[in-house]
Amino acid sequence: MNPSVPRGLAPALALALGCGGLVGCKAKRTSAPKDFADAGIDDLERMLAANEQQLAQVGVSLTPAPAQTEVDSSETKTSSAPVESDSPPPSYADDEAEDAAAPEPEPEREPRPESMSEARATARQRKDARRVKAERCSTICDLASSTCGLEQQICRLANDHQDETRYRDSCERAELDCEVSAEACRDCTE
Amino acid sequence: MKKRISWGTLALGTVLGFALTFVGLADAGKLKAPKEPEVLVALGQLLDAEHQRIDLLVERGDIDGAIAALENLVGRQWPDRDRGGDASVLLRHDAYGRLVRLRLDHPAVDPRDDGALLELVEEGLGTDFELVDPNPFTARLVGIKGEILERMGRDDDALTAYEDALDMNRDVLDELMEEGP
Repeated sequence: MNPSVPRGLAPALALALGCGGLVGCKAKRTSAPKDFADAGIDDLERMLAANEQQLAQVGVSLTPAPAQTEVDSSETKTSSAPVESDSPPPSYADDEAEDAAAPEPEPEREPRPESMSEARATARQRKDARRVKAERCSTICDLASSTCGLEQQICRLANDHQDETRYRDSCERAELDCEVSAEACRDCTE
Repeated sequence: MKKRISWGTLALGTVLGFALTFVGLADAGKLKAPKEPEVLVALGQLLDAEHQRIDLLVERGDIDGAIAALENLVGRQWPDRDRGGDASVLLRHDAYGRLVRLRLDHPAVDPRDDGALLELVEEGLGTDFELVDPNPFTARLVGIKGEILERMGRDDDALTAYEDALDMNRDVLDELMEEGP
């Protein structure tokens, strides 16, 4: 059976993959840094992504215009220079400065917007991969938290039934589960 | 502008994300797909809006209102597993889990006895809960059932429920570990 996923739920699904227990999801409700100076690179990336999304919602696209892309992509195909996927996306400020300095556009520089686009796509992919990994870790740690909570409940019951093997065995197993899941959480977050 | 991610959206996303993850991890086909995907979409939209509203009520300290809203939510007609697929069952478990958790944490608000709470949990779990793949939402509701049974002095049954919840958590963790980083 091939499960079909309604298209209308795509945003939720994008949020979701690997995102685990409720506690972890709640924990992600961090507020943005009060000052840009306080923000780390991840915070800034998140803010940029959020801003880009908001702009897109009001019809402002930060991706290169389609006409440019078409021209550039055809040129890129014939270009012998490989796209350096690891290089960070160049800033628009750099482009403006370079354009001002060069009176005539050089033919080999024309594929640059496409490279920018690809570099940004690569950066976005990396960011997505980091997010998926973080969400997976969050899921594992939430499971650990839930498992250890159950362990406490089971072992508390076992204390009241000290002469019953079933309770004792269950407590021991729960302790082991708690230990294993907590270790998985530690391994994931380290 | 304060950017707010709703509990409901996250929960909904989480449920469906888990569902998809399990599909990939476990044998494809284990997860029952909805016969009527539009039913699942409508349910998802409704829950998203309702959970956002409940978030607000809880934030304002209006637990009474939050519980009433959740009661109203769970009192609706839920699609069965056939129509809404496994994801709809998980969403149901999530909503009931939130309601009973709130009731247990705020016993003074519109009090219900343990028998009524147990009935509520049983209603939420339904008859199809053992058919869905192990997941954190069902596990939470089963764990809550154990908590109520323990309060009622039914320790053996409580232990069984706790063990079931533990088994589900272990299965989910195993799946995630097999998936790898």
